Order: sequence, then structure tokens, then C-alpha cells
Amino acid sequence: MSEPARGGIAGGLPAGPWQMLWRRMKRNRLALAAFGVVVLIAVLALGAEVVAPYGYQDQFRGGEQQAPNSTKLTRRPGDEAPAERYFLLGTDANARDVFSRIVYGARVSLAVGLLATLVSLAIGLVVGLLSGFYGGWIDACLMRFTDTVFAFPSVLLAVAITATVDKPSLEVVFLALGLVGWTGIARVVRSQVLTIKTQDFVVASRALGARGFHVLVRQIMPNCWGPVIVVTTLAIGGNILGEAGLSFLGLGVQEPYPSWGGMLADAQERYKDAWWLGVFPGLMIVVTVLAFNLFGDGLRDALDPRHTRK
Amino acid sequence: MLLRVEDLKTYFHTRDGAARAVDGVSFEIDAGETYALVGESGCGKSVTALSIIQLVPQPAGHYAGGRILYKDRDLLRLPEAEKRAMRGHDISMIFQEPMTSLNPVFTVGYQLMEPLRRHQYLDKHAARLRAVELLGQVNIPDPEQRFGEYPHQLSGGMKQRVMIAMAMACEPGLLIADEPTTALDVTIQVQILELMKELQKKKGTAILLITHDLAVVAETADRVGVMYAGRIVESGSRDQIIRNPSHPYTVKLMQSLPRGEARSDALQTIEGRVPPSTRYPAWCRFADRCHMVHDACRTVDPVLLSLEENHAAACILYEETRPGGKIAPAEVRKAVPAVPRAEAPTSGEVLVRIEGLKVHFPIKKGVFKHTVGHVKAVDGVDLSFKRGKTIAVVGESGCGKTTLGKALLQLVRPTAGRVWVGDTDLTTLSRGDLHPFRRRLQVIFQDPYSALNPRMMVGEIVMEGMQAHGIGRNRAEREDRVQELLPKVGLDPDMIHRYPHEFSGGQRQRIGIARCLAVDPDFIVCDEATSALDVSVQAQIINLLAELQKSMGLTYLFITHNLGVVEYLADEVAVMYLGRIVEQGSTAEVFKSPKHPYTRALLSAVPQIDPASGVEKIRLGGDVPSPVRPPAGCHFNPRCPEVMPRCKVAYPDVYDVGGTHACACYLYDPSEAVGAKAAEKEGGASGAAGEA
Repeated sequence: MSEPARGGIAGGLPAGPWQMLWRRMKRNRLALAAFGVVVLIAVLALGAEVVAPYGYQDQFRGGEQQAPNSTKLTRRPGDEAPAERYFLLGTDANARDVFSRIVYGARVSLAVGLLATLVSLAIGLVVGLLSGFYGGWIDACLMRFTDTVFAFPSVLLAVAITATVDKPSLEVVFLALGLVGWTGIARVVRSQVLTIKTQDFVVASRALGARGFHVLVRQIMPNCWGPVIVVTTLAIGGNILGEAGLSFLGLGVQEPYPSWGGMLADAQERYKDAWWLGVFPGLMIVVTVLAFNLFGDGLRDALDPRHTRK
Repeated sequence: MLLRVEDLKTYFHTRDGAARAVDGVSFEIDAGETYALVGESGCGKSVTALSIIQLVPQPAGHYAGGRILYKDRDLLRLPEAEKRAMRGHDISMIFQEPMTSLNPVFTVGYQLMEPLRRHQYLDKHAARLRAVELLGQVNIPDPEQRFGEYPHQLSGGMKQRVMIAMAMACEPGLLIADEPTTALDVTIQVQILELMKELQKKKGTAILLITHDLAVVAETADRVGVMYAGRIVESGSRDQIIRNPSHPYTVKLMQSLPRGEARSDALQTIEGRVPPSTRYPAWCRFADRCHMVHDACRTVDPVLLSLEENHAAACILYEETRPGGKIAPAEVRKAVPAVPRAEAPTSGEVLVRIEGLKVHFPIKKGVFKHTVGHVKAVDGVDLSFKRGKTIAVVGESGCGKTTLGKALLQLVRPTAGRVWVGDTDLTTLSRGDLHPFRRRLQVIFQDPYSALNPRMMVGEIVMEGMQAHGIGRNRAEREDRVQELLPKVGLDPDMIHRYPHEFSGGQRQRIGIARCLAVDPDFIVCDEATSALDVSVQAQIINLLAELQKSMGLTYLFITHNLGVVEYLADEVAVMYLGRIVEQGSTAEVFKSPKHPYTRALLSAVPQIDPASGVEKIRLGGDVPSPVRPPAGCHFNPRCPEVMPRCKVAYPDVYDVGGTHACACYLYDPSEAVGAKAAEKEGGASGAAGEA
């Protein structure tokens, strides 16, 4: 018999999956820049109090519908005397600072984007895992249900859900979006489970007497993460768009709290004389969604072993 | 001189610096000869082949030096357009995996016409005629019809024939065959190797054969280069390499092949592993693994030294100026003392018994999933396993041997039959009642890469079964047990916090064995447990299995297609064909006097390392039929060279042919008039095959 063989290869192999992912991400400049934008928007949202020059509902009398980059003598309710104020992105018809409202609006967009995706992930994961692992009639029932949900236009379904409650709120919006957006995740999880469950290590675990739930959670689930992370990141962008759409229709977060979609809705009546009311929130939506999509794409490439470049 | 490779260096850029995949390789190939490059995985033989046909992946790979002269033109310096014109026309290549080397969306004929139209400028009609002719030349029956079929409609052997037809379409001067038969069954391998030989003789093509299988080399090559760590360490004619291996690596490689005649000794192994190609030492690259190593080996980088005409080895043992003088190659070969092999004590008690085991998988069709037929993967198998013994089940792919193992373990529930462990029939147990038996019956898999969960640490992997069966009171206690277990399988105890991807194939296989042993099993199913490993690592794992069998009294069901391993390791052999056992007996009985015509063909098809063994190959026609609709009567009858009318009517009973030896073939029916004739005929046939 040989003496104990020394473990590991002295070099050439990466230290762990996370380091490897980071190393590959680093090579994709575009995805890295997108990641930077995502971080920046997160900072805006979290630090809104610090970043925004004014409150989101402060009205500056005398400064209605000011163009971007203007300075105006205005008076805020509670002010003792009017003061000179600078409005980077102008003000709206109610004399509120557009820049401040965009910064606060980032909170709504990100919160809905992330929370709705989390809801979708939870539902999609459970449905996908059960469907793929147990197969048979469970699979048939769950997947037909998934197809049914998928067949509805998702925004319409979300509209229907939000319309049933008296007063739409942040919670209602993200639950509505989460409840309609899980079908893609469920399908990806299911297909992963189908490939992984035939691998020898799963068979070995069963041969050792491991129970079904243990096999599913300890053996199969951790090996699903790669593709799931990617569809999840892409779903965030979709949900931000969904939120903007609902708010645009008046079914999102209610005034006076700002959201990008709501700001767009307000802007449509005045687009002829106040272009900045629509352009800036619109740009924010475009940039944020694009950033999440590019980041998701980069993540997919980094996680796909076929994209290995020496 | 057709091809001359001079000091070729093909490097790859990696994060850890240049990987010197091919690092100074020189050899020559004459027109019409077969030159074999042999070595274990990662030694650079495939990259050498890709360099010659100029298909090394760019830009990661680059040529750091040397020349490749084909008919005196340096391929490394040709413009890309000329390289393209050369590929397929002057030099062509066939690959290991026939399943993926044909494009699934085009017909066979279309793919075959492509090189003809491109290189020989044939018009559509002429190309079609020529393509059909080529299909006929590679012995594809009914070439007109096959021309219009898609790759998935052909069997593996058939696809490899099509690949050969494509490669030979323009009658190239050099054919590169990279492991051409590794993915095929032995009976098909014989057909393919013979076909290549025949075409070579007819067309005068030179063949560069890349393989890890020394026996294939012994049967087909004219000259051989043995590669190790990016270099050729020994070269010579086939006879010189096979009969007089001189480099210590070649010697060890030959000695680590499992063979029937060496059953009483433990297999020779090569310790350690090939150094990573990014950090080759400045001295002999084999020094750390060599049984003849001494201080001087770590001072010089050896070059090929001529031993006799055409035979050279890169080892300083053969250096004239070596202190203590030059050594004779025979010294190297006998330097390793034989260690007696571990034998398990046996009590003769039957541990596991299976009776009439059947596994039929329904084939479902249509919206309502009605059953339209069954795949009869296992179709009535009886076996009994005595404690401490090894039974091997052998057969070609698709014969049902893996399903048999899974059904025994109840990983697939059998359709019919019984699996007795002591007085309990496992097939009647519920999931919960089966749980305690899971502990006693374990399994080792073929592919060490998919057998371990990449997201779990070694400690967790080994502990999993202990948790499921409540072995050890807490985590600390279980971890202690793992620490004790790892050295038993030849691993360091401090490896428990590492992940599987940090280990080599052999080490992973050891982790898989430790996982089984953690729950104290009596019975282990080894499903092709050594088939994915290199020869030297295979020898280590076989020795480990034999040793564990002795120290722990284990019983093995060894499922494999590798007959050399079976002859070395098994006590009893069962030969399977299309779901049924056709012959069964002790290893000596089956290998020395095979009775069933299928067993005889199978044994004769195994390539022999000793080319003078004189075994006449029995060529089986066609492929293994589908288990959905097995042929009526004896399943083997359409391929059987001794078929009789009654073979097509009913499946034969099992007849006793002496000792523990039994065979399901009408040739041995005592009431059959031809019985006497068969016995007489079998005397002659087994005499030849018996040497196998």
C-alpha cells in the first residue's frame, strides 16, 4: 500500500468558487461597471437623507416648475424668510425639488426590485425543487400551474392584484410583482434539479440512507445556485420596470412619496413645457435596469464553465 | 520520411505561468507505418497531435519552439489558408468520442461529402457516389441507405466508422487517431482496429496513434514513444518497448497492468503524481516517483540515450559516465520485489443472494403516457455472494450490469425477483424498513468527479452516512472517526476541511471509498470503480480494495468491462448479455475454458500485451441489439458464429458444464445431438482462447 498521498494540487487550482467568480468577473469590464452603478444607486437609496439636498415633500413657494440648474428665491412652509435655493434638476408643478425626489424614489425602486425578486425566488425555488425532485404527478401539477401563471400577461396580473386592495402601498406592489414573477425561476431550478439528481453523489447519498429532504436541501440545492443567481439578478431589473409601470398607472406607491414611475405619470401632462420632469426619472429607470441586466449577464458568463478563458 | 517533429514545444498561458504541455518532443513517422504515442492522462500526447494538425486552441496555446516537417514543409510556418488546405487533405484526425464528433443536424452523407467537395473539388453527384463508396469501404452495411441517415440513427461503432470514412475521404498521408477506440466496447474495438489496419495497408497511410492502452499499442503499433510530463522518455520498436521496457516509468507502467497470471502478487504501483506542467523541475521529471531514484537524478535533466538500435530511454541509469557505471535495463525491471497480494479469509457463508431479479423500465408514449413496451435491462438474474469473496459481472455497455447493481441496492426497485440479505427479502421492505440495510450495502462509482458533491467538504461527505445512521453521538465524535478512517484509505487526516475539486481522480476515488467504509458495510458494489483512472492509479485503488477486503472481510460485486482487472481480482465471474447471465463460474474456469460463444468472442477481443500469444480474434458481426425487442430465442443468436435452428426458437436453459461452471447455450445441452460435436469443437477453440 502506498503511504498517505499528499492532498491537493500544489498550484494551478483556484482557492474556492467565490474567488474564481470574482477573478472572472474582474475581466468583464462592462459587468464590473454595471456592478459599480448598482452599488452607486444603492448608496443613493440608503443615504437619501444625506444625499438629497431637500426633503421629498418640501414645497418651495415661488419656485414652481423651475428648469434644471436654476437658482430661485423661494419660501418653504415654516421658513421665516424666503431664501436663495439651487435646483440641480429643476422642480415640479408642486415646487418640489426633482433631484431630491429622484434620490428618494431610488428607495422605492430598489426596495420593490429586491423584495419582489425575493418573493419570486422563494416561490420559484420551492416549486422548482419539489417539481424536479419528486417528479410524477407533483411535477405535472406544479408545472401546469406554472404554465398557467406564465400565460397571464404579468403586468396585467399585477394590476389585477393591486386593484383589489383599497389603498396600494409598497408592500402590495412588491407582493403583487413577486407573485407573478416566479415562473422563470421555477423552471430554471427544476431543470437544474433534473440534471443534478442523476449525478452519482446524489445516488451515493441515497445509498447511504439519507432521507429525501436531506438529499434535496444538502446535496441538490447548493448545486443549483449558479444559474439561479443569474436569473434572479435579471429579474430585479424586470421588477423595477414593473414597479415603474404600476406607479405610472397610479397603482404603485402613493403621493406624496416619490417613485420614478409615479414621477413619469405626473410628467406626461406637462412634457411640452417641462421636459425635465420626465427625462430624469426616465433616465434613472433606464440606467438602473440596464445596470442590473448587464451585471446579470456578466454573472452568467462568469459562472458558465464554457466561458473559461485561460 | 513523411513527418518529422523536431524539439516541439507547445505551451499554454495560465495564471500560474506557462504550462509546458509539450516540452521538447521529437519523433519521425515513415509513410505507411503506425507510430504510437502512449502515456497517462495529462502527459501531453493529445496536445502533440493537435500541434501537428495545427488545431491547438489559440491564443492560449502557442508554439514556443521546434519544427513540424510534413513532406519537408514546416507546418508551424504555413499561412493559415495553407493550413486549412492541409487539414483533411494531407493530415486528418479521428477523435475519441464518436458521439460528439459528428454534427447531429446533418446527414451522414452530407458530412462525408464536405471534405470531398472542398478538397477534391468534386461536384455534388460525383461526391455522392464517392461518399457511398467510402461508406462501403469502412464496412458499413447498406451504404446507400445509411448515406441519408442522421448520426443518432447509428450505433457508436458505426459512427466511428463514419469518422474514419471522413478522415480517409481524401486519402491523407497521415491519419491521427486520438484514442479512437477508448469509448467503444472490446468487440467493436477489434472491428475498428482491424478496419484501420486494412485501410492503412490498402492506401499506404501513416497512422499516429494516441492511446493510454499499452495492449492496443502492442497489437497495432510499429514503433512507440512513451510520453511522460511533456517529453518522450522512451522510444523504440514495439517489440523493444513491450519486451524490453527500459525507462523506469515504462517498466512500472507495464507492471501495474492487472493480469491473470500475477494474481498472487499485489499490483506494482507508481507513487505520487505527475508534477503540474507549470512547475516541472530542472532535473528528471520522474525522479519523485521513481523506484530507482538516487541523488544524481536531481542534478541533471536526462536526454534520450541510445540503448540499442532505434531504442532509446531518457534516464541517467544508462549514462556511461554515471558513478558506478552504466546499468543494464534488466536490472531496472527486476528491481521491484513482488509483494504477496492480500487474500481475505472466507467462511463460505452466503451474505447476499438474488433470485430471478428483473428490472423492466416502461417506455411511455403519447399525451396519456400509455406504456408501449419495456426496456428489459435486467431480465432474470440469479447470483449468490459468499462473504469475503468478489464476484465480477462483466459485459459490454447496455447489457444491464449497472442496473443489476442498482437493483440489488434497491436504488432502483426491481420489477420482479428477490434480494435476500440473510433471511430478509429487501424487495418487500418499505423505505423505512430498508434504512438499516442501507448501512450494510454500499456502492463505489465509476466517475470520481460526479461521485462527490462539489459543495461539501471531505469531512462532511464522509460523515453523511454516519449522521443518517446515528453512528457517533455528536459531530466531534464523528469527526474523530473520519480522522481514523482517512489514513486507512491512504489519505491525510487533515484533509477533512478541503473541497473535492482540490483532489486528483485517484484521491477522490479514495474519498468515495472512505464514505462507504464510514458506515461499516459488509457488501460493496464497485460499479466500474477503476475504469476512469489511469493505469498506475488503477493499480493503487485495486490494491487498496484487496487490502480492505482482507482487513474488513468485505464482499464485492465488481461491475466492469475491463477483463484484465476481473482476471486479476475476482473469485467468480458472471458474463452478462442483454439482461441475462449467459455464463458463470470461477475466474479460472471462465478465463481458461470459456464455453459460451459470446464469452469466447469477448475474451478473444481483449487486446493482448504479448503479441505472440497467438489468440485468434473472433469477430462478431453487428452491434448489441436493443433490449426493448431482444431477438427471439437466444438473445445472442444473430451474432453467434455457432447458431443452430433451435437457438431462434426458445431461450436456452442453464446447463452445468463441470465444477461451478454453468452456461446458457444449447451447445451444452446433453440431449442435443450436436452436444458431442460442440464439446469437440470447444476443445479446439478454448485451447486458443484459454491463453487470453
